[in-house]
Amino acid sequence: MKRDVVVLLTRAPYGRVHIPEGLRAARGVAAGFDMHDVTVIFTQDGVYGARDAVDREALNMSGHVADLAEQDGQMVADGAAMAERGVAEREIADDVTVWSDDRVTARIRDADRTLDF
Amino acid sequence: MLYLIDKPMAEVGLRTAAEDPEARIVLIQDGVYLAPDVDAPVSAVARDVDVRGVTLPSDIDRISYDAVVESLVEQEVKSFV
Repeated sequence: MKRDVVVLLTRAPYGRVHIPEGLRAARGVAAGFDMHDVTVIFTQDGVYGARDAVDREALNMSGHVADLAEQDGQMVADGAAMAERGVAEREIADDVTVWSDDRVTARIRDADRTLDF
Repeated sequence: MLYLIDKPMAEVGLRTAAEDPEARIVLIQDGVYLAPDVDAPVSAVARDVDVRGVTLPSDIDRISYDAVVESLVEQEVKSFV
C-alpha cells in the first residue's frame, strides 16, 4: 500500500552519520515494492546540509541523492529553520527546494509516517 | 493529534504542533525542561519531571507514563523523540 513518508534530517553535517543515513533510509523507502512517496526535509541544524557549499562526497551523500531522485523522492529545506540560522535561500543547493514554515509543518502533520535522523 | 516532544527535536516539533488546532502536546525525557509558548494543552511525563527535579510552570500538567501509553494507543501520534 503506497504511503506518504517524511524523513526529517535534523543534525548538522560532518562528524556524524545522520544525514547520509537519513538519505539512505529515504531512498530505501522510496525504492521499496510499494513505491512510497518520500519527502526529505532538512530542518533544524540539518539545513546546513542542504547548502550548495557542502562537500557531498565527504558526506557520502551523492549516491543516495541520485537514487532518491530516480525514485521521484524530493528534498526540501525548512525556510523557518534557515531563517533562524541565517542561511540564505541562495546558499541552498539546486536540487533542494525551500519551503515555508506552514508548508513544512503541514507536510509533517499529513504524513503517514515520519522518520527522523 | 498527540505530539510527543523531546528536547533535541523541539524546534520543529513545537512548530508543527502550533498550527494544529487539535494538538495535544506531551513533553517527554529532556523535553520536560521546555516551557513551550503554544496555544495547546501541554503535559509533562511525571517521572521525567521528578528524576530531573524540574519545577513545572503552572500551565503544564503532570501526566503518568501509563496515561501516556494509553493516549498513544487511543489517538494519532506525531513523535519528535
